[in-house]
Amino acid sequence: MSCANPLDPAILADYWLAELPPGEESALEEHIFACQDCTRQLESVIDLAEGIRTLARHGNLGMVVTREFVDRLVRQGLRAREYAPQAGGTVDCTVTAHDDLLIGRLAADLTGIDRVDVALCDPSGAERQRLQDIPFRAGLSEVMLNYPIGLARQSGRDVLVMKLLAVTSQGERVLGEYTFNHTPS
Amino acid sequence: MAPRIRLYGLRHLRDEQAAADLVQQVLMMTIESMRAGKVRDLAKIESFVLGTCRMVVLEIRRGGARRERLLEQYLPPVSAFPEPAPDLDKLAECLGRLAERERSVVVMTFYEEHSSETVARALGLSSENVRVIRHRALGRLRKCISGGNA
Repeated sequence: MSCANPLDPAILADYWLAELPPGEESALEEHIFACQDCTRQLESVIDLAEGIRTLARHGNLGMVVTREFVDRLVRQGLRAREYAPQAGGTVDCTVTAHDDLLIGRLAADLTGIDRVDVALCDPSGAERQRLQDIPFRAGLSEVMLNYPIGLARQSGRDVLVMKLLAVTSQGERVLGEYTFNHTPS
Repeated sequence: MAPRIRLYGLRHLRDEQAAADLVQQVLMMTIESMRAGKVRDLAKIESFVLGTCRMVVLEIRRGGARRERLLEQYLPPVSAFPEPAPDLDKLAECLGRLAERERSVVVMTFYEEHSSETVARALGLSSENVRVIRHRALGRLRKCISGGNA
């Protein structure tokens, strides 16, 4: 890179998201217009944003989502299949070629809890994966997870147990346990 | 210069076609200005082009008819810049390596280009925290994509 003062990609992302103060934005634009290297950096930030959008639209990101986020995707034409077993309950589930998103809704009382993990377990309780310290909004009564739909499509019959865990320095306790009994469509 | 004008257009107009139109219009106005001897110092051509971009975008925002008139007069709109295809498999792998908060923040941020304030409200975080998480996550993503560990 030949730029003597390369712009930090995080700052370029702030610029792209219109989160820089006007004075900083103006100075950054002057730099970009005189700098091919930083122009390329900005392009790569925009490409990254576009890639993330594409992956989100394809439903292949395992992540915590919000009701508002899912509703926006649905309004944009995506089809969401949602399962909401009660705590301690089981739900039969599947996914079809017509679905774009696979959402698990885990109901729990999150009042007064600082940290929540989600453990994805097999029926014996052995953890396959753990989502640590998930983001959640105080006052909500459920956690929504987008399960990678590509994985679900490839899966044969399977039982997945999700556990919501409150984690403290003293240890952890189960807030709810939810069993997903998956059958291929 | 055209890629820089396009990026400026994408950032301020949020539309690929509008950005492509802006490129054509600004380049055309720059050439016209040079022909008319209005650009005296070629070493400062970038500043001139940036100033023209700002002026044109302002006009577009004000709903001015100049853009349409000039485009009709001189050039048909074309998409001159094919989109590069990001390596989605690698990007998905790298997103999967992020911490849960980082992944939710970057996806919810970039999916609809939400401000840190909006994402913060959705996820129960402070907007300053969202910015810190976003900065850290972008650094890790870029490192991972370029071949290092996230």
